[in-house]
Amino acid sequence: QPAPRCGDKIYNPLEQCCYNDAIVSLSETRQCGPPCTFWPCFELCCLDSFGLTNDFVVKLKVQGVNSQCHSSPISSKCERRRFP
Amino acid sequence: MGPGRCLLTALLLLALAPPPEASQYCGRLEYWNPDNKCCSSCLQRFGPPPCPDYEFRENCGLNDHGDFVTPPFRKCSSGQCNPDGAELCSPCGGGAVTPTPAAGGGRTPWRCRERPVPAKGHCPLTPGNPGAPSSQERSSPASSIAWRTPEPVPQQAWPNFLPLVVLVLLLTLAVIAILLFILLWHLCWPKEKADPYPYPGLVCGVPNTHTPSSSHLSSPGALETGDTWKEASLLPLLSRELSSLASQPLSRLLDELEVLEELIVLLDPEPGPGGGMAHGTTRHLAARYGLPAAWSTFAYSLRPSRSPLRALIEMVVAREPSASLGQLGTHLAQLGRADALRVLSKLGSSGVCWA
Repeated sequence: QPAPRCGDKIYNPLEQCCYNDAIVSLSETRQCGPPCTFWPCFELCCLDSFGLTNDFVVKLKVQGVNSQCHSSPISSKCERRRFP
Repeated sequence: MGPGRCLLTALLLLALAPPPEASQYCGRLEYWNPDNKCCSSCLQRFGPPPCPDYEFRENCGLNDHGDFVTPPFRKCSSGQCNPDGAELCSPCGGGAVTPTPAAGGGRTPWRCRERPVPAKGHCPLTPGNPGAPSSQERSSPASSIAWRTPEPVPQQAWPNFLPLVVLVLLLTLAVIAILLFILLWHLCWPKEKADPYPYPGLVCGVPNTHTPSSSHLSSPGALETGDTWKEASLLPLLSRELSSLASQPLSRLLDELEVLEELIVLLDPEPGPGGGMAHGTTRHLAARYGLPAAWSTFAYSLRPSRSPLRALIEMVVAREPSASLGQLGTHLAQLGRADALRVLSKLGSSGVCWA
């Protein structure tokens, strides 16, 4: 089985994942609308509603399939924030 | 050059300056990729704005650390329109797009490799639209921001009907709850009375694993019978209950909160029942379902705010909607977790009251 690629680089799936065309560590976390954090390797940062409430919501990625925000289960809801 | 003119110049410079949260390296329609150390196009990450009259925010809402600070899109300002899904709004009725000042000196020397632009997603604001994300993900995604389907009911209609709807809903729920209670009482109570070895406080469900005190038993011999029964109970439990659970979807467990909570208490803690590196925790259950160890490490890092078992069940249900409670029961049996299996058997459709 060929090594997984991220862009034009290969990476070790036991320690890394491909996020936004970049190789990141599995333990990497990012902000999903402060103060919420998410794990890019295992979660999706989604919007609860397009432009209406602008609440961010973190959802679980389903391993091995195309994860989509509308079909993925919620991992955690982030604090409501209003954006201009 | 008088002080008034200086003040005016300063104000103009401030107005033209990029907002403080703007990228230090990239232009307005780009964002800094801190992992690859390059600027990438917002359009190539999120696709065009899926809804009309929306445009990209500055750096599509990302800061230079790769964090989502604000949503990537925003509504056009007054007098601006974007009917064609361009990156930026333009004056309504025609007119050129106002060029925006680029941060980082105007040119971006570090450009990430070009990627295909994702297809324009469905706008969840459009009535009747099934709603879809603006971009799809693989398990190693290129983009992760997308939309959930919003409530289709217009805001102004709610105030008129809301109290009535809430009242009807509450009444319906109350009636259903009463009917369910009566049904359960009717099904369970006669069998409990006929049981020669009553367990106090036990209605329908799994028998208490603790030995009841002798004062509650109808005869001295019942204690021994109960112990022998407990030891032998796993085999008939496996065959009978698994057959009744096999037809039930795993997603049911997410609705049965009491059972789920009990399973969480039993399976999430580490180490397992044997102490040390014993087997039979949620971690081992995840491995049975084919999830990598790294995922389990991530799931356990979510504690205490989130249960790894709940995350596992949601993952399995999302990946395989046809997954059944029977499969879970089989895994629990293979892990030697008879205690969890007994809890799970509460969901069995037999409805038999145990003694």
